[in-house]
Amino acid sequence: MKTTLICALPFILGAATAHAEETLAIYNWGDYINPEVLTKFTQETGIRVTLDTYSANEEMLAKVQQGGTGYDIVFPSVWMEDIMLKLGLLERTDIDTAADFGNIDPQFQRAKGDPEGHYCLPYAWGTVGIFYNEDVTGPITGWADFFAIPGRTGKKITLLDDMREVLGMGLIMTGAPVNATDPGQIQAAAQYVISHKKDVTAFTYESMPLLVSGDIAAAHYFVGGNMYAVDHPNIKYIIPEEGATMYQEDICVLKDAPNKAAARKFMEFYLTPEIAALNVAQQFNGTPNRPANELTPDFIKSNPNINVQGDTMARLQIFEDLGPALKAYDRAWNAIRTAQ
Amino acid sequence: MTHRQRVQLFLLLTPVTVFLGVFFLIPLGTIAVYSLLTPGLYGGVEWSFYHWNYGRIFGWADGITEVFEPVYLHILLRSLGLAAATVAICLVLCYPVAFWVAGLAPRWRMLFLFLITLPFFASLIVRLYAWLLLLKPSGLLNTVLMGLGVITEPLDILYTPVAVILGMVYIFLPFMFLPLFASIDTLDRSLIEASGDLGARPVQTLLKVVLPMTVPGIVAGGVIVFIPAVGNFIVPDVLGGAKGLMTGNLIEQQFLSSRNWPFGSALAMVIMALVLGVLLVFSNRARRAGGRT
Amino acid sequence: MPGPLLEIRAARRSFTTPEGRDFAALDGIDLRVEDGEFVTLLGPSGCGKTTLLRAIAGFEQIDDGVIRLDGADIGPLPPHRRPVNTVFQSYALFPHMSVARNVGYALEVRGVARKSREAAVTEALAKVGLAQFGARRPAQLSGGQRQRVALARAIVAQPRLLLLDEPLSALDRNLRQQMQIELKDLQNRLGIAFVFVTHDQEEALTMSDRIVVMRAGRIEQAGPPREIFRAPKSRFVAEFIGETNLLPAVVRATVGGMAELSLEGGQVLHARADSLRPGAKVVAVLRPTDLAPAEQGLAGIVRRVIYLGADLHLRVEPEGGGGEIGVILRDAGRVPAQGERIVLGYDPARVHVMEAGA
Repeated sequence: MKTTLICALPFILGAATAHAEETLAIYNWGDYINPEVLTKFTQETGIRVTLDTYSANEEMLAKVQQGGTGYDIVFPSVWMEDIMLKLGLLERTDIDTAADFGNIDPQFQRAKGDPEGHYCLPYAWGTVGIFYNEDVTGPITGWADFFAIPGRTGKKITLLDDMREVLGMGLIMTGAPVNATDPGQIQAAAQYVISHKKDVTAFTYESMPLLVSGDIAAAHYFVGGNMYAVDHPNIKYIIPEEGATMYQEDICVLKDAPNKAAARKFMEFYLTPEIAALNVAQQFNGTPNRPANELTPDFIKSNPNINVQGDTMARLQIFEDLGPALKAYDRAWNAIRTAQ
Repeated sequence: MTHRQRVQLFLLLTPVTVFLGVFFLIPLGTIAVYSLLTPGLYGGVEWSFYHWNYGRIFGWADGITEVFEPVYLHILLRSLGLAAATVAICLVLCYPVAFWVAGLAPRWRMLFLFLITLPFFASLIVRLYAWLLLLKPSGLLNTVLMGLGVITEPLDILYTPVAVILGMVYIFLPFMFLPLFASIDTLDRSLIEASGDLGARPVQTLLKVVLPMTVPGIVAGGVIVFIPAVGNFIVPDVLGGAKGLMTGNLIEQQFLSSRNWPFGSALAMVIMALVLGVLLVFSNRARRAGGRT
Repeated sequence: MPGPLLEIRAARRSFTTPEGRDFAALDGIDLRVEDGEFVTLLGPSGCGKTTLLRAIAGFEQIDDGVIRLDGADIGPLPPHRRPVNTVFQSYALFPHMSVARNVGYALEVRGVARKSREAAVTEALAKVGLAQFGARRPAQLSGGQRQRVALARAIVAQPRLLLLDEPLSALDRNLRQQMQIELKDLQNRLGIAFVFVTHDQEEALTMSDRIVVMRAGRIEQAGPPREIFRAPKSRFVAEFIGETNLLPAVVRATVGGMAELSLEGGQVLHARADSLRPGAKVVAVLRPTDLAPAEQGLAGIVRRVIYLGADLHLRVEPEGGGGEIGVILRDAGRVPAQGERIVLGYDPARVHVMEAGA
């Protein structure tokens, strides 16, 4: 540590005199931010950024609850943001008073505990739909088509290895809301999935490379998978006609953040449409920043399944915290996983 | 014991005690305590006694607070079965190879031992994804086999139990090999000659002399493979397509998406008890087999 | 007349050393062992004696030649199908089995019923004096006791031939001498032929009916102990078997079975020997114990006196020159002084003459 500091000293000396040694510790999902955004932020503000990653909201929550993490900014899903607000883990930032806050489409201020945007800044959102190899399957429009692929073509399909996403799909197909807490509805959804399990080759997050190589014909996956579709025109993405889930994460500052000023600067920085668009160009997902939508690459802007508009938006549902009903989902998911 | 001796003993034992405490007893104690607490709504625990975590697994749940589901015992047993199969296959594969290596000239033997440990230099996940690429229908294995004309249709191995076993055996092979090799290498070869000399057929020599003499290596290898194999869920996930639930997944799920730390802890305690039980029975049998007169 | 029990003809076996050189461990061995005979393979390490033993047991294959047991070619048979048992240098007792199970092993693997097995084990243990030790583990026995267990184990199945690979080398001197006698007794009682490997000439002389001296993969000389000791065919055998004086000489004349030899320093040595050609260069072999102070004989100056209790060793420089002569006096009435002139008498019948260069 000491050696690095000494070695780096001549290089950072100039910067250090201009700005006091300011840092920002970001704790984000893996691969969920364009590294160029962070580089640009450091260039503009002189604030050094460190990035740690997590792979589940619960993982982040457990760590933050322990305290003393040293993290400033986290990216919870909206339902987790509500939990964290209830637990008093988030710092009020008054980001809604920032000059550029008007760029944010108000429909994305989804957190129940923060309808005004006193705490967190809507970061990014996306859909979870179906990728398919059109050469093999022909055009498909929804979940019914998706599950028919193995029987029709002999090719394989995969679902995500995710309790809420798989059960959410089951709930949609059995006509229930994706946040249903009624045990009967949850069981019916599980039954729907189980009845199609024989056609599902795997529950996995690693489906996109297999789809591109032709080893599977279709996959349940996040809109971000479109980064593969850019170079493979036969790979298509749809938001199923029966309905689909969406996700949204917000930028929040922790109550025990050591660098709250730097954190606020980052939020303001991210309100800039060019920056939000830069992130979208690499992430292939949606942004709540209205002017940013106009600045995204053509492939994204012109694709109604990525740049989602009003009527499609109506088919999407977002996860909320289930409270004690979570146990029923756990049970249903175990039943799906162990079903023969 | 004088006071001074007692102080010395205390000082001598302190590092061991601290080591055991920090790396073994404290984590185990935490899990044991958690397994008897009420789950917190958002993960974590509430500090009140709650025995239903075990009731849910073993059947004394009241059906209201918690529901008994035999599925957990099934999952535990399946994990034990998979681990046992992994141990058995690793043993069968490693035993002759260890014999062969023990007979090599020293420099070839060093090279072989180095090669055996080579996979440890790469991350487990990376190696498993390499297997995924090997086994998929358009992967190297099928390409080569079809190129050689051995098969006409790609083998459908990926996301099957075969792939899971293959992956498990692959990652645990070195753990079996090394203790087995150590045991076979120190085996006095003249005992094998003596057995043959006295009229024992090679099979008899194997069963009556070689196996009993290498029991320590077999037990050590078996234990070192069995314990992590029971908790392994990465292989069933990556190569098995997560279609069968393993104990490891189940526990991970309780600590993450299902936010039920006490239940996860209870599952961990039960699997630990089962593993311990299996190992005790196994090593007792082995000791008796080795020590039979 | 029945053939020999064991017959080896033209056996060859070569190894490649780690440096890549070929090395003949057995370089054309011819050997016969009769039923009930005690044959010792004697030689320095690396002479091929252990390889020969292992070839008989079946642990080594010979590259060329024949090994017959009771007239049948056993060359292609694996060890477990040869009616031959081995006592190993390290004993090779199975540490995980009791003494009794060790001893009964050869019967166990043949499927002999427990009852008769136990009887045979008891008998074998009694023969080696360990009747009470059946329930112990090998680790609980002394070296000598392990040695006997190894013996009992090797004889329990009544082999035609017992092979012993330096079985006494791990024992201390006293125990070794005791075991030499016991082994010989046991062999007499059992009537089994023994092939015994050792590098210890004293062991070989004590026990053997016949000694086979080996050198560099070949048999140098084979014969009864006395013949090997008294009439070595070569300098190697003479030097390997006990202390000896090798005196280069030229044959002057032979008269009536008595030869007159002229030593390097000009002194004359008489030897009982036939068929020696006058003028031939020879080597006279004279054991140090066969020399004693006398009126007539070889004259010389005592150069060194070493007192060893029972024995008195002298180094004598012959008059007229030549190498020093070693003398061992068993019962020295008077101890010669250093620098004193001495005349050493000998029995011409005990002077062995061999060709120079042998």
